[in-house]
Amino acid sequence: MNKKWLAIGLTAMVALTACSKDNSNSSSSPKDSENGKQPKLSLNWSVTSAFLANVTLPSADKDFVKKAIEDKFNVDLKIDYMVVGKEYHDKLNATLAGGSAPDLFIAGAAESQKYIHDGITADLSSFVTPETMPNYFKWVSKEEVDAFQLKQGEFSRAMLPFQRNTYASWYIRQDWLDKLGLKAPHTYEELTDVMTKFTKDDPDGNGKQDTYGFSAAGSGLSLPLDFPQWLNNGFVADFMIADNRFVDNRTDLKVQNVIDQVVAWNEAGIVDPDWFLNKPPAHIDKAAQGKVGMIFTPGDKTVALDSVATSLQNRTKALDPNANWQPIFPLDQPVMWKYNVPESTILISKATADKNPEKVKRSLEIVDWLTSEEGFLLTHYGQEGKHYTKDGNKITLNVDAFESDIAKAGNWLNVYAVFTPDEPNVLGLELIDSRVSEHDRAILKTVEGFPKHNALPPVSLVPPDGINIGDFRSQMSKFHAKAVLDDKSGKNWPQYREELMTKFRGRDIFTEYTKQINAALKDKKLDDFK
Amino acid sequence: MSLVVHKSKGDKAADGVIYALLTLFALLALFPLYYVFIVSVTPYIEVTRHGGFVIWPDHFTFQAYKEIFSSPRIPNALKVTVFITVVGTLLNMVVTTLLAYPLSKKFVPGRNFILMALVFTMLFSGGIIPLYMMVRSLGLYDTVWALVVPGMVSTFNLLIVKTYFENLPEEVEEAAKVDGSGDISTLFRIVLPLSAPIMATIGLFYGVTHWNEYFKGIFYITDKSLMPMQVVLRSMIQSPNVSTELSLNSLVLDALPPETIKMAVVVVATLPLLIIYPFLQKYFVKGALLGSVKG
Amino acid sequence: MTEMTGVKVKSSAVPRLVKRDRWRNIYNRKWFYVMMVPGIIYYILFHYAPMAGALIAFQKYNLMKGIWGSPWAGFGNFRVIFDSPEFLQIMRNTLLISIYKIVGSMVPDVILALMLNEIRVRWFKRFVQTITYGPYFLSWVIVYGLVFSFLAPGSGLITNLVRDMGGGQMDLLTDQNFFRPLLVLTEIWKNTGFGAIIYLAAIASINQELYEAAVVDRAGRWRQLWHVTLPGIRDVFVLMLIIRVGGILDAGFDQVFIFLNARVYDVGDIVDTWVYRYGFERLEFGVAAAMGVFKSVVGLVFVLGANRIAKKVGGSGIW
Repeated sequence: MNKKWLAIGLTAMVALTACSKDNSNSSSSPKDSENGKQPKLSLNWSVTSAFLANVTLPSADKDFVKKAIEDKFNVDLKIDYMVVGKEYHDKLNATLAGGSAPDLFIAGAAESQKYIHDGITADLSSFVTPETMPNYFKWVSKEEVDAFQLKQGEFSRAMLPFQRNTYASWYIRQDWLDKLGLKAPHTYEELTDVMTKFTKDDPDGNGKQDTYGFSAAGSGLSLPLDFPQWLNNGFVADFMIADNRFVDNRTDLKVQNVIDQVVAWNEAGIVDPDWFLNKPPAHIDKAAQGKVGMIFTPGDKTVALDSVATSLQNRTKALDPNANWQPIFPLDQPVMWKYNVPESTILISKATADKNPEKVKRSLEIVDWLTSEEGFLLTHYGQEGKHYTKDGNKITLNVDAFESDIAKAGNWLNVYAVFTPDEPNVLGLELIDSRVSEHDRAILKTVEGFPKHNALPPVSLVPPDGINIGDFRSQMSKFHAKAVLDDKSGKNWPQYREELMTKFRGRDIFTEYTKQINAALKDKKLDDFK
Repeated sequence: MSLVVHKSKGDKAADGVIYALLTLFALLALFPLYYVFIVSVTPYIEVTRHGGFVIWPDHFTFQAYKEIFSSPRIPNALKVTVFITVVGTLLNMVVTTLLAYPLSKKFVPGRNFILMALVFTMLFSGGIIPLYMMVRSLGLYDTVWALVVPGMVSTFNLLIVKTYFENLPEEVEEAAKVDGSGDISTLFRIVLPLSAPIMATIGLFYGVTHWNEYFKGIFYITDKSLMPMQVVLRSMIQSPNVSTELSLNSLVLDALPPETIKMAVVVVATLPLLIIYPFLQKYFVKGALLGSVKG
Repeated sequence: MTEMTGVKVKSSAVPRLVKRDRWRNIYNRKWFYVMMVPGIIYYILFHYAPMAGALIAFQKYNLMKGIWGSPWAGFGNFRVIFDSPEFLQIMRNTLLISIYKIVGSMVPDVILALMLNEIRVRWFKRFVQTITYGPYFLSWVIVYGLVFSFLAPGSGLITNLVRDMGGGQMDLLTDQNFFRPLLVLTEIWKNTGFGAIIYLAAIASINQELYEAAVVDRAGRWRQLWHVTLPGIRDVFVLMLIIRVGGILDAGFDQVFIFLNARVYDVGDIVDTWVYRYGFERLEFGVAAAMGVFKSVVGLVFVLGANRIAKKVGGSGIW
């Protein structure tokens, strides 16, 4: 009796493994040609973006974008989607290595280099042109896309249209300024004075000296770019070109002054002592608690908005009804931050391009449609008449319908919207969203208006083979921490820097970067890295 | 437990110390659990006010739990997770036991070689890509079996069971053999009933692993209706990468998930495991071998 | 003399018989082999077949060409690891942290199990058992968050307490002398309850009659512990030790990664955090795979050594 049971169990196991051996890889297309219509194709995409975290596609009957695509293009489109990150790329690597590459896929710019280098991707020059994809080229220019290629003259990766404007900004407690009778600071001296008064003069009026002027989140790694001392010494964001040379801001010689100035603030007690270990958003939480007068964000546009339930503004206001966060450009510098750079790419599998080029063509037709006005409207705002009304170039969102069908139903339009950022102005449209108050509109306008520059041409900087940039950066972190927290001065920085440049191969890395940038610059060439 | 018929004063003092130490350790362990639970029922404003560290909230809110359970993805995910936990653990225990028993017999030829080969797999691995390819080529990809079959035997658990079987007194099995019992029925009728503690242990270990399954759900599944609980729960608290882009469409939804929801997710993910453990503890009783060996 | 002859006759006259006996032996135990079939199939499919992936460590892995087509890099990937100026430091940190953790957490696991074993009051025992096993399931992110709220330099509850009492500024989280102990202490806090389970099961399966015999010998609690309980769990303890020693280069990436900061890199950077940073600004497979192979080889050496020692010291190893 027991033996029979066992035998059945074993047979079942073997059967399970054996009879389901499947050697076919990616979807093969049953081509039915119908008279006059394009043949039905089965497409397999893999997409990712930062906005896919809590997102699920609805059932087929509620997914009107899927329906529109299938009707218009006669395809059966399977999309695998995940929020961008290591897990996405791990899975993508596995599907690519396993021979079941998606026909079209999105990958990070850094990762795309390996895919292209390994020959997994197809040449796009015949597929992606202003003639075949006119709508796509409304979002990116041909020159940019050309500069974006790894090797000039090739065309292996298309830029994923990205949000150009950054919402980097410092934010300050305007109500504290009012209370202490201070003007908004516009120079470093004024800023230091305001920060000191925020710390010492009890701006929240609770009788205790328990507030700090400034806080940041270093994650225990290094001196974050939140500190205005960077900008004060001319360092805009992380990379830039200055005096016709490539500059790696965080390891430049002049960082010595940055360190000295940060140390001065630390000694004066005006920076939250947890700044070094804070992991984001711990510093924002402190600010929400009412303990901090100024913070910086590299891109969160919701900080001061009152229409976002959990914005810093609302959280602070819940505890202190007078709270009023305002964006501020507190220094007298020409530029505050850099414009965004493309971080993602659109790639086509070489296997598909070789065996089924019509799948590639059809996929790109769909992408072109998604980047057109019709596609953009459908994938960002929903169905006309139901979720929004259009009057000329003004789009008025029907908030209730939008929220119930889309936002609260898994926020699923984000899957199809990966190909276009939320910038209707690119297509000459204007969105009227009643959820965004006048107050908010003004703030967004201010932040958008802060001066920014394009730091570098859209190249991907690749460290040279055999050099471990991980070691370089971690040593940089160690030196930053040492200088600011142990030495409490920038005096040793020049020798730290020299060690970084030689022992940790910094000079080799950045000379290589200069070469790569020069390859992309058609005209002027940069001078050698110092 | 030790059998002490008559406790001396020293024994009683030792008892006191033991109780005190255990109480202390239990409090230390209770503290993070308490913290997680309390924050999960505290409104976000209050959490902020206390800087994230709440001892006792002024107001209680179950909003976070309501939000979690009203998600349409949860019922499905729960079904999937329960299925893989129950069916998976059962399969695990059967296959592991069947493999461990022969390996516990020193006289089985080839035993040492097989053991070494198995321990070798604890140390050497080919990485996730070949595993992915194997799952695909076996046709398991995007099916619930992809969550069950890989990981069918944990070498660690296998070794525990084998060690346990090795420590069983031989006389019990000898007696059964004399009575004409074959190898397989000896295993089922004699050995297993004596193995309650170890079966409960590996059942717990396997069950906990299945319940917490996250990676397989991400890696081997595309169909969102097959996602296990942990994947769904974690996606609820992932915040968008606040580096450069933040869609206007997510303006009304939270830009960053509040601590309250984060902790509620932890409670939902962990509470069932805390509840089930006391029920298994009754298998950790002595006397399993009492009276089984006569003379 | 007779004996020797006897032996001689035996060994020279009966080789064939022995071999046939061997096969008969196997046939007699055929059900044992049948039982092992499902498990063996599993291991072949999911462990041995995919093991070819380890070859990536010796290649310049190309996704398109796959494992069988990628060009060979010999020991190039390993050289990247060994040539790093950080290599000695990460090796030392990894080994030290692992050893501290092995000793520092196996012992409390056993002690907790032994203490629970002494408890007569059933509800108390169940309560303590269940509660202490809870923190195992919390992620390190949460544990770190709690530690941070106590020890943060500015807002930490304990830091402020110490400062208010005149003890000055406390910077424990960035203190190099405190980092490794912190890792071990939080590991004990989190994992002991769960780690004790295996020992509780082992204790539960000790033959009661041994205790009864001890009582007859008028052995008190401590002698029972020494002569019955501890020997009863010795095999499990040795097994756990061998397994943990096999993972000696695995110092616990999840935990270390979260607790690490630039000021304690020198004592806390381990092989896995180094590999993580290596792969950060690029996508590459070879070095990570090479590190995996390196860890495996070192682990194997330790396991073989530990198993042999275990057997010598009078017990059983794994095989």
